[in-house]
Amino acid sequence: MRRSRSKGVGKALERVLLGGEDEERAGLESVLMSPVRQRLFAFMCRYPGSQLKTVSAGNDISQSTAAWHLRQLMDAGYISQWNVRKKVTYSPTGLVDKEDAELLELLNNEAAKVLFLTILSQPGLSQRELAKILGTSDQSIQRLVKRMEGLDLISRTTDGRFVRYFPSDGLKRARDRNYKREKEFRKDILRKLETDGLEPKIVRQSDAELMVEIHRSRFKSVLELSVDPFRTVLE
Amino acid sequence: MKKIKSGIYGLNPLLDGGINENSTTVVIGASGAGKTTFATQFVRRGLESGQEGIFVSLDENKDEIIREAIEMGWREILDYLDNEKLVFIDASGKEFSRFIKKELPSFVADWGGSNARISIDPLTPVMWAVQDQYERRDLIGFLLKQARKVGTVLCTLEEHGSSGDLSGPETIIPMYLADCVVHLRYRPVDGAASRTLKIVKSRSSKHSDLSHPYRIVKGLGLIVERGNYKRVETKEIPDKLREDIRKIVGNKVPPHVRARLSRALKELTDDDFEGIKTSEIIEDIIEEYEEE
Repeated sequence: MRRSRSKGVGKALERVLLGGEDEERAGLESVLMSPVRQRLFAFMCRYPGSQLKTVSAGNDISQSTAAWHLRQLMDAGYISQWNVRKKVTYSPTGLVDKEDAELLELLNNEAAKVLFLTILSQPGLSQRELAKILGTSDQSIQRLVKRMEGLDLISRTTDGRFVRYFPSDGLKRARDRNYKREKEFRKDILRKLETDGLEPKIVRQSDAELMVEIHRSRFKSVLELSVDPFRTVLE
Repeated sequence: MKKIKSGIYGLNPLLDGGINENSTTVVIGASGAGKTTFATQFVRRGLESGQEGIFVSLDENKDEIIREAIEMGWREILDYLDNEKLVFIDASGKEFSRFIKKELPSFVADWGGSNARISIDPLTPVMWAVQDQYERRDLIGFLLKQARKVGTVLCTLEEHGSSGDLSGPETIIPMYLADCVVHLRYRPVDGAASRTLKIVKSRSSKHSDLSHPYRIVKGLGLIVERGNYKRVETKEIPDKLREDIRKIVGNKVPPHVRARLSRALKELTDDDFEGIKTSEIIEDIIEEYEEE
């Protein structure tokens, strides 16, 4: 009894019983043929740098279920895991640079996202005004603006005794910098789907989106991937 | 023997608390009796307590069973399937009997003690895959003996012909070899169907001998009525017997035999002696040993 009480007895029985040769079954077992994992992968493309709790909440599945699927996607090479400020974050492999992981992690935080959007739409507010608008404490605003300044998302101007915040072009620069990478990602993902035997066919392609039909035996699915993460992260 | 909950509402009290862990149960019934629902509820209950579940369908109707489970109100089945906590296997009778003969021992060596719940629905095609009666008995006996090592097993069995006749060779072999046998008796009557459940046997467990009406309710599955069945907890007869052994039997029986009988009686209740006269039991004990 080597693997006493370990997990996976059902899958093991399936492999032995069916020999794993049936093409239809192989199709179902292929990592990206699961509707849940397709949804998670599309979510990761839209919000790279997400933590587990964001993935779970954003897809209405439990954290343990999300963790399990992310593990499958990671093992198959579709997503990568990075530690950002001691937090585990997930991103599609090849879509963004590790250098930008911290920026993405911050903007995936709901409070930071709302703060940044407020500064974008009403430039020049002070810390106190921001706290009032967002209904939060001065301290939490202070903590977030400090991180945003560090990432060059915003900059400060001293106006008498007030410090005022303005959007800076850190996000735009990150997006421009990533432009080439996005182009490569489109090619890479198609190549990977091809290698994994999913016979990808482009259905539609635009600046920000890639829609691919994948097949395995008689099973068919459509992946809708957003490939402009520095824009979608703010959605 | 550890009891685990069956997942069938109302059945556990009839089985002295539930199904024995690492045992094999056979559920027999005609088409429409609720065998698959029974098998699904059994696996679901295990998943709810953190056990893994395996559903081997030999009818090749996996999608149908999943659809019915969802219709019965079990939407979480999809999550369990996604997580691979529940694995659904469509196999044919031939594939499965080949597996039993060739690969089961090494599978059990690898996965023994997994504590999973396994439903095989229905076992009948495995019987058909083998023609020879002797080989059939061997095959089913081996399957049940080995499968117990991997977890707690439930097999359903189709009941053909007139309802209630369980003496055909296709039912008698698995019934004989299983630890627990539940008969779902189903008679479609004009308008309303009549359904009763009877526990034919249950090794190492007290159980009800009555026929219990049951219903299949959407969202809940099988619900068994307890009826007049009541566990007898009183111990008046065994207590009196122990007293009589001490007083009447005395030195007519070797001391180690007296000790063994006394130990055995402690485990029993009045239920076990229904219709038996205590005076006759005492006479029988004396008769057995007095000439030694």
